Amino acid sequence: MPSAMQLMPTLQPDEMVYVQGLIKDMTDTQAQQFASIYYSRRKDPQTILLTCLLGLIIVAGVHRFLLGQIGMGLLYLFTGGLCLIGTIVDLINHKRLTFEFNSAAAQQVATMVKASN
Amino acid sequence: MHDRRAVSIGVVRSPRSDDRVVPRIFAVVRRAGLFVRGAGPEPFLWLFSLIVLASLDPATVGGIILCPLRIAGIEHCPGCGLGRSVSFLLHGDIVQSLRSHLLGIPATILLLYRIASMIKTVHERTTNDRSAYA
Repeated sequence: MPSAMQLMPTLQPDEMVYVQGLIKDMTDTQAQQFASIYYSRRKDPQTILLTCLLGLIIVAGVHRFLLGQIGMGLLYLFTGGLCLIGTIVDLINHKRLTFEFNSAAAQQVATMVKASN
Repeated sequence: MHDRRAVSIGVVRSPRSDDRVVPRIFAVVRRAGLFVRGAGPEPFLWLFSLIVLASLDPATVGGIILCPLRIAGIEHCPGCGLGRSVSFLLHGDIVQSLRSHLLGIPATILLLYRIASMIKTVHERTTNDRSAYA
């Protein structure tokens, strides 16, 4: 059984658990394929945190655009991060936001890998 | 047949009879707790703001200035009036909503969609049903 811990040690804890659940039925080659594709598609929580911090200073909503949420990003852009409250909540919540994005990406990559093998 | 979700999150297998009400209530509370933990503060924040906007009267201009951009000195930003626009819409007044801000309707739809999609994602994640991607 492939180990997410060995293949992708830099994952966040809940991300690691989720990915482990996805790759446990894969062969080792499939798991390695998954790892390399997933690494290029996932977002690092720190990136999200830093872009979110931008919202407190200059322009809000950049992190939402990075996470693929264009509508929310525009909303943040026009309202200064929903009167700063949205930005603050996103700062507190950034890990969960990233995990939401990453788990969807992981699911897609897993389906891709399983379908093409 | 026992509910798969209840079994997978480790709840006691209670037979379907009325004198096992208490464990069943625990199961519901536990499920709700899992949901809140998984979803985080965000959906509740949007729900709360929508509820607040739906209850306050948007016609009366408040004395407290909530907008940080206005406090900072910018008098008229591109998002000016969005809050009141959403509030008007939630009160049913579409004309006033569009007069306050043209994007009030998309903004409301967007927030509702965001709340719904977060609930759906968390529900999928806390339901340990992997048969969909097997």
